[in-house]
Amino acid sequence: MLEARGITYRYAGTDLSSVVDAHISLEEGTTNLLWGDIGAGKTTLAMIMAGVIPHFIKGSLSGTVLWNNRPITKDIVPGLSSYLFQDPQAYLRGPTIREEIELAGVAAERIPELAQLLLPSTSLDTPLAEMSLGQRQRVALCSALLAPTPLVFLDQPFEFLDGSGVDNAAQLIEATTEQGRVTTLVERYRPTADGLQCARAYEVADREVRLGFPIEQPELPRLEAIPGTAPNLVVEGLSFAYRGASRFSLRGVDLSVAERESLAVVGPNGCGKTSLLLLLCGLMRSNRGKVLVRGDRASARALRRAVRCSFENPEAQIFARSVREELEFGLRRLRLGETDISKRLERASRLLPFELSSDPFRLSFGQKKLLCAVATFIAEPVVVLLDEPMAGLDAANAARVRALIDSFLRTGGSVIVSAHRTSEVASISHRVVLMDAGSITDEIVSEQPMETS
Amino acid sequence: MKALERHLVAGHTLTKVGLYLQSLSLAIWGPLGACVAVAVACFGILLLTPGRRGTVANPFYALILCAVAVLLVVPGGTAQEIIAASELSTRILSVMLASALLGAVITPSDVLLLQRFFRLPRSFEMVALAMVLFVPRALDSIRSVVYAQRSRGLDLSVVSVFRPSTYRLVLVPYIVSVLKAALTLWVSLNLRPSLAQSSESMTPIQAVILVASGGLWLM
Repeated sequence: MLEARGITYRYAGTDLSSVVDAHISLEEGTTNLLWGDIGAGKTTLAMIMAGVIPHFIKGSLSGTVLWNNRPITKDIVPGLSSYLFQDPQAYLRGPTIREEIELAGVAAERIPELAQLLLPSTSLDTPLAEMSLGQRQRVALCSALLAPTPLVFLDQPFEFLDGSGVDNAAQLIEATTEQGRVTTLVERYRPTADGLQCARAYEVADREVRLGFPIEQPELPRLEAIPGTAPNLVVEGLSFAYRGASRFSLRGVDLSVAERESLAVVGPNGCGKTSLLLLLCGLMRSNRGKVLVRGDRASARALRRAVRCSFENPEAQIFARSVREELEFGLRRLRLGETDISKRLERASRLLPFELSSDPFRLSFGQKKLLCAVATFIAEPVVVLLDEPMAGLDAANAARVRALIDSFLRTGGSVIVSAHRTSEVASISHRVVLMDAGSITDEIVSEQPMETS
Repeated sequence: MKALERHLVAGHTLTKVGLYLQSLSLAIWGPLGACVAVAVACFGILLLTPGRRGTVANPFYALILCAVAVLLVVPGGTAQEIIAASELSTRILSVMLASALLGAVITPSDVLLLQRFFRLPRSFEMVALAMVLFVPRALDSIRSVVYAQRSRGLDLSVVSVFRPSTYRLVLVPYIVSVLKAALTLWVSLNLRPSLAQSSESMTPIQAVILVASGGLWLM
């Protein structure tokens, strides 16, 4: 049994404890859940129970964690736990799928069978560097679950997975738990895997821990803006292959998005969504096909001006000492006058729940993501591309992003959203196109009930 | 090419290291002809196996570096000096290409085997894994940062390379993401079962220095 008794923890250099007097007990052969909002302290608690804290991250810890009555907070217990961080790439160390799973201690003859479960139709010798984030999460999950440790901690393991990936991962979690291990999931809401049974669920809220059933992710209202008919962006026969790649990442993609319309591009991991976004905002050049903006064929330079993208990871963008400077950067590149810049900054300050003088590096992940989205929208391009805009956002920031999209659409602009599950885009899109293996395979209009893939 | 790649990677660890040491000694002390043969063979294999090459330093950088070294001697240099510079450059080139090839074919499993075979300290595995893992991640990060800034209007063809703000735009987010990645990678590597065989652990400062030095060695 894994037991936490009276855990209180404060990170070095901070005044406030992240976890206060937490008591948890988890039985062998069970899957459990620690759930709560962003910043509630659930990841800190999971890291204490895994032995990451206090051995690798310093701070002030009181209370104890016992594994079969042996304290694990005093000394490192070798080979006790696997901890898969939110960033799956941190876990991976093999250059290919085969080597990564081999390093988890799996017999070579079992690797094809296990890999088939989580990575069907992918060669075992595929370099991890060539895989999408979702595919890497599948490999990391496979590797963490197969490692011979009695404790497994998975921090938001379904975040980057598509529908089939979630189901397959849930099956693998159940299969490994049956071998007598203690598996603990760290999530914000009830896990998206429907079939997954959790023996115990602990809610972490306001730094305190109590037993409690997880809530569903709250649903946001649909967009109010009504799409027009004039197309803002038309894509015709777009094909693209990375240099040296044996196959096309995109094959003859056709799509159009009208004024005041939000279009979602949804597809499984590695289907070509990010490549499409990079082509649409002029950061890569296509091999075949063309892109028209308001009826005119657009060069890569023209696309970079008319189409702006807010990427999945906001930390790749933030560089300035203040939120104001961060927002000003994009506006100054547009060579706007001082009055216009001031007006747009004033508008941005009303959209953001923090001061323009704030240090952007001290914001939470959700706030950083909101800042990057606002910076993209106030540039007032014709089309805004949003790569996984709801990933990593709490309910309040998700509602702000939705409101931002709605108000931009009312000005006549268009939005293209990329996501790996239709459930994530129901509230922020009028129409969904489904992508698979580099092609558009189907289309769902929001008047019809949206299915969750 | 895939077959060649598989064959190279599947070779025994000691064969890979043995061939590397042999190439190294030929490149440093062997006749110039053997040294050129080593350089050509390594360069050829690296070119033919792009999948593996993507995980280590680009061999073209080594070629450019050596060409620049020779060109620096050419203006005003005597024929003897140019020949000497060319020979030295060829030897350095061979060493760099042989090391790049070793980096391309060595796997984390090889690193573990070497550590156990030679009873090397645990920090050896950390450095070697940092080199195998961290460089591709660092390159990935810089690509994401450049995409994000270009999408907000940064035009790399018109900005001045002499203005510090140009570097700040790319370097600040890059350093932040690389430091975060280094620390997460370090905790993750320390926790992985094969690494947690002893109770010995490293401090975060040691980890950052090791990871950074591993990255710089290949860059």
